[in-house]
Parts: sequence; C-alpha cells; structure tokens
Amino acid sequence: MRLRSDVSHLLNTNEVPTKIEVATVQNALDSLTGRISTLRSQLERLEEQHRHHRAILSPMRRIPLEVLAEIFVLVCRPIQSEYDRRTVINLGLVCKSWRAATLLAHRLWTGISFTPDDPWSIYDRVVSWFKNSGSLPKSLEYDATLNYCECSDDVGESCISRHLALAKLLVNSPPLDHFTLVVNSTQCFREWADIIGMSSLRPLRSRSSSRPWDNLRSFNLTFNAEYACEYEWDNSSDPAESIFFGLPPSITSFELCLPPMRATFADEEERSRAALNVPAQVLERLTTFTIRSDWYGTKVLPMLKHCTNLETLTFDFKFKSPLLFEGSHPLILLPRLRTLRIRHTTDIDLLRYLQAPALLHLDLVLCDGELKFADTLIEFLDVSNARPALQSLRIYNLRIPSDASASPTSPPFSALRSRKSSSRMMALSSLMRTERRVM
Amino acid sequence: MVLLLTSDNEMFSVAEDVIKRSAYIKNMLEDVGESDLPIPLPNVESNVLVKILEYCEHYRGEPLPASDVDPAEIGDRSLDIADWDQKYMAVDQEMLFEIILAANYLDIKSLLDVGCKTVAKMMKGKSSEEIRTLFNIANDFTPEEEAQIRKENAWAECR
Repeated sequence: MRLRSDVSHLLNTNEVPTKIEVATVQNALDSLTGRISTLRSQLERLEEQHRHHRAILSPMRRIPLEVLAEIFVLVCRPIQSEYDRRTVINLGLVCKSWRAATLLAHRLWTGISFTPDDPWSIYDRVVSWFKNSGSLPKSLEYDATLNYCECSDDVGESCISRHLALAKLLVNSPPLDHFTLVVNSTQCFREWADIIGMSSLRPLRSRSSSRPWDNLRSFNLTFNAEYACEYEWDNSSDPAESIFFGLPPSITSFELCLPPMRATFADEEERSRAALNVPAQVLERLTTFTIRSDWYGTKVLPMLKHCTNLETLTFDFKFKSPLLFEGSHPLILLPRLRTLRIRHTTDIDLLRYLQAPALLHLDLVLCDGELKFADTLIEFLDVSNARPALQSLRIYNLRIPSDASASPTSPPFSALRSRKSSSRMMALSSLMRTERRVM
Repeated sequence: MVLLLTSDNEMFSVAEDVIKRSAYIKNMLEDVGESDLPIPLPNVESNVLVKILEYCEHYRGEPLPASDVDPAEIGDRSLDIADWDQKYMAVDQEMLFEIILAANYLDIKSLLDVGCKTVAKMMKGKSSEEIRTLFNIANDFTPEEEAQIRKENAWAECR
C-alpha cells in the first residue's frame, strides 16, 4: 500500500518524524488497520466456509445411527446421575441426527438415579425419561447417603430415605426391573420399608399386584461405609424381626453390600453375634446373588444353604481375608450354580465349603495373588466334579514372576510345581490349558 | 486363500483363518463355498482394508472375546482398551471412522467395539459445542429448536 504523503524516507531510519510526518503516518496506520480488519473478516468467512465444506466430507456423517447409538451408550453409565443425564442431553444437542440417535438408543434412557435433594416433582420427570426407553427393563437408584441421617438418633426424626417421589415410583408406576437403594443404616432401611409398607413375608394384597416394588426382579441394597461407625447395626436375634424381611418379594437377583465389619461392630463379641437373617423364602428364589462384604465368611455361608436355585454367585471380599474360623462347616451344595466369581480376595478358602457340580465359569480376582491356593482350587473342582464341564477359568491379578512367561503350562506353573505337590500343579496346568484367559 | 476386491479395485489375497474374524466374509464363504472369484467389498477402500487386515492378522488364531465377562465385576472398565488396540487405533480421525464403518460392514464385532470405545473416550466429558468442533459437525438446529430441547430437559441439568 502506498502512503498518501511519502514518508518512505523514514521507514528504514531512526530519524524523528516532523509533526506533519507524524500525522501522515497516523493516517496511514488507520487506513492499514481498517484494511487488516476487513481482510481478517474475509479470512474468517472463508475459514467458516472451509469448515462447512470439510464437514460435508466428515466420515462421521456416514456412521449409521445404530452405531452412533452404541457409542452413546458407552459414553453414559447405565444408571444415570444428574451428570450423566446432562451428557445424554448434550449428545442430543450436537445436531439433528445425533438427537435422533439418542432417541434410538433406548438403553440411554433405562436407568436413573436421584437423591434426597431432588424435589418430589422428579416423579414426572423420571416417568417421562423412561418413556424413551421403550420396552426395555428399567432401573432406579436412590442414594440416601449424601448426608448423615438423624433417624437413628431420635425417634420421630424424618429419615432421608423417605422420599415421596421414590415411594410413588415403587408403588404406582412405571414397571421397574431393578432398584438400588443406598442407605446409611439398618434403621434407614426399616424406615424405608415401613413407609412403603413392604415386606417379603407380608402376604401380598393380591398375587397379581401391579406395584413395581412387588414385581422387582433385581434389588441392590447397599449400606454406606462412610458412617458405619455412627450407626448401630440392627442385629435382631429374632429372625422374624430381621431387617431383611423388608426385601422385595419377587426378586431373583439380590446384591447386598455391607458396611465394614470393624467399623460397624465395636468389639469381637459384637462381631460374633452379627447375623444376616435373610429369609429362606427369598434366598430360595434367587438365581443371582452378589455379596460385597468384609464380614466373616461364617456370616455369609449359612445363607447359601438355602440358595438351591442359584446360577450366578459373586463374592467381593473388599481386599480383606474372608476369615472362616469359628469351627468347621458342612459342605454346601449349589446344584444349579453356573458362574462363580470371587473378587478382591486374599485367599479362596471359602471354596472348601462349596460344591458346584454344574459349574461352567469360575472367575477369581486376586489381591496381588500367587498360585498358593492351587490346591484349594483343584480340590473344589474335584469335589464338585466340575472339571469336565468347566468352560472358563479366569484369574485376574495373578502375579507371575518376572523371569517367567505367561504361558499357563510353562515357567510360572513349573516354578510353582517345585514348591507344591507336583501332581496338584500338573492338574492345574492341565486345567489352564483349557482356560480362555489368564489376566 | 480368499480373494477380496476393494472399492478402488485392488485385489487382496488373504488367509481364510485371518479374514474369518469377519462374520460377513465367514458367512459368505459358508454360503458360497469354494470359489476363485473375488469377494467384492464396495464399501471398503484398499487403505482401510490394509488396516482391517492388520487387526485380523494380530488376532489370528485367538478365540473371539468372551461375551460373558461382567466388566462391573472387575471394576468400571467399560471403556478400557487393550494396549495393542490403543496403538492400533492411534490414527487420524478420518481413518478411525473408516475403520468403524468397515468393521460394521464386515461385521467384526470386536473391532467395532474397540472403535466405538475409542470414539466414546474422545467424546466423554465434552459439551455439545466441543463435540461439534472435534468432529467437524454442523449445528443444524434452529435456535428455537435448540431452546426447546433445553427447555424440555432443563430438569435433568439442574435442580
């Protein structure tokens, strides 16, 4: 660009400009600034056009809606908190086809979680949310543990597990498949069961009851670990008074997460008296049972003798040793058990007391485990006569010596063979040959 | 060996046990039987097929992933991707989506899963505007439509 009045003689010097030259340069600068601004706007428009044209070629456009829907399901958790719900809405706000994909992905709308902080009007919202899930089974979660609940301290104090919307959802509609209830204490669970008027043993008003609670297939009862030492465990010696008599009557799947034993019970005497009086009628119906607990195995085993229809059993010992002292126990037959999972355990001694002749899948998640339990494992499979039919044996977090390969038939096992009974290890090695994965 | 003809007319000769990870090819071979004729893949370009074959070759001889593993039981690993798969998926965005499209077309479930997980991880935690920018997606909502969706779902976002 040429300046209106020539000051080019100043451009490559350090001379001080005169007043006229300053004014001239200032005009030139203003003109240049205006042109730069115009060009910048043009550039931005061109870049915008470029972006739009590139978007036409984006392969994302060719991704079928059903694949997009699968991706969305991976982005969100199955039971959605407020954060997850916002994610679902955000995905649908990207563009029209993504909105269509969110509505196509029925699984995005099958589970919802809320807390005591949500208003009672959330009932209508939950019903509306579930409408997008079509005929898929629906899950509800209510976490009443965000705050300390005073219901255990003072009789008459309102319990935070009492929520009108929750009660309405479980008494009126819509039909629910699964319900997770997270409470602070056994008292909270009693309050909850009382307000809804539910009991597994109470005769149902009619066998054809349409209350979602009465028709729940799956129930997860979680006792908060955080306040475990603050609340007294309801340890009614009379089984008829057990808190577990408030379980839903039709469940075939039950997950029980207990508070830490040492925080819940002050001393060993209390611990020895602790009991889990789940009604036999409930246990007999279960096909899936999950127990997450660091309680002594002796508290858990008595329940299993009633679980004659169990097909999937999961123990999560929360990285504690499932102590099994207090004498010996009779062998418990689980005639229909297909899948057994033991999680986060330091040993698998529990297997000494189980017999599962129909076992197909055995998963063990160890705590930095070695194969020191090989004898127990093989003995369990032999006692169960499960070896011929066993389809998968998965061992997670198995520590393999660094100088050994991961092959199940070589170094780690041959190394162990030298420390263990060779016949036992040979047997384990032969088992491992049929195993699908060792992780 | 199986002959495959890509959309850009390149011929590939592939071991049967490698390409049988594709349920689409596997079914076709079972239906058609022995044949010298190439199988046309009109939806797959040669550069994408090379990448697909790299995956199938890597997992040659390995059983298909077990479907009965409960991820929740070993921690929240729904978006976990094996190390090799992560490296395999370290490609530009265009190739990533081409792989997903090809895996979907060829019905290679495990590869489709890895592709979907990779995209899901890219999207996680991002706003709708950030996702548009990330994937070069145009916002085709009118302001009124967008406002309506936000209004309908306002309850989900805040109490």
